Amino acid sequence: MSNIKNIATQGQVTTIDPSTKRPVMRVVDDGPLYCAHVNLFFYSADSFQVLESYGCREVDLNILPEANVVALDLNMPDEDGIEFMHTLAALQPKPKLLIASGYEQAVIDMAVRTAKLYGMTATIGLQKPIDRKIFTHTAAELCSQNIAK
Amino acid sequence: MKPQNEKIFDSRTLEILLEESDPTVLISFFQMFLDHTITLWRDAEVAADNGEWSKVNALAHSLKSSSRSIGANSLGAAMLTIEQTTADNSPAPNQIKSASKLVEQTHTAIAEHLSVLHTRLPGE
Repeated sequence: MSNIKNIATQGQVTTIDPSTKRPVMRVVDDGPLYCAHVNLFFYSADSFQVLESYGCREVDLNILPEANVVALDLNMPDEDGIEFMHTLAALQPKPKLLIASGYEQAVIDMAVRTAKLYGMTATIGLQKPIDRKIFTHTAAELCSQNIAK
Repeated sequence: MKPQNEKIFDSRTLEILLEESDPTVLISFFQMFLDHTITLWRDAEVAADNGEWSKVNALAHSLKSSSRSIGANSLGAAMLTIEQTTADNSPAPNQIKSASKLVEQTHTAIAEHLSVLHTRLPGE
């Protein structure tokens, strides 16, 4: 695990550390600052291994199914989050989805409904900025939900 | 007395969001924001000069979120205005001009706070 002081400067964390048994959270967000926030949220909580992708096209689809939770932004320059939900919905089992966006809540709620229409029943939406307590609590809540296969 | 720059920059926001008070960690996040903003804002200014308002819209959205997350509230509000104005590809030259000034003021306010944080480093 990286040193807490280096989280904002270490660059992207993109590969799974096989030595840890923690569940994997894949953050798909074009903002490096936000990705570093999420990494720091779970540094001391030790509950998730956080992998970062600065956009949908950076996501390695081969290891995407290993993500237990995907934290997805909606507005990204390469492909937006709603489009990327098609890719996520095709996975078996479908990942649990935490939509985190700077859009107004009504837009986020619509995205959550769309994800559920795609069969991703374990989906929660949050509006940025999100503090550590809310984010970690929501991720834990998602992990406790059973998902239909 | 409230600090003069509080409206532009609330130095407590990042500490509250991260639940982290280690000055080394906070400095690295503020520095990351400054580097990130400089790059994105230059891209936005170039896109505005070229009339690429949908690109400006996407960049303003990204800057809005990152600004709010470190307490750069005025900049976050300015980015929201640009995002809303350019949502249908409409030009927003006046908003870009005033936001450029705000980017500078925000950077100055954060730089001042970074100086304070450096005095809290162990051994300082």
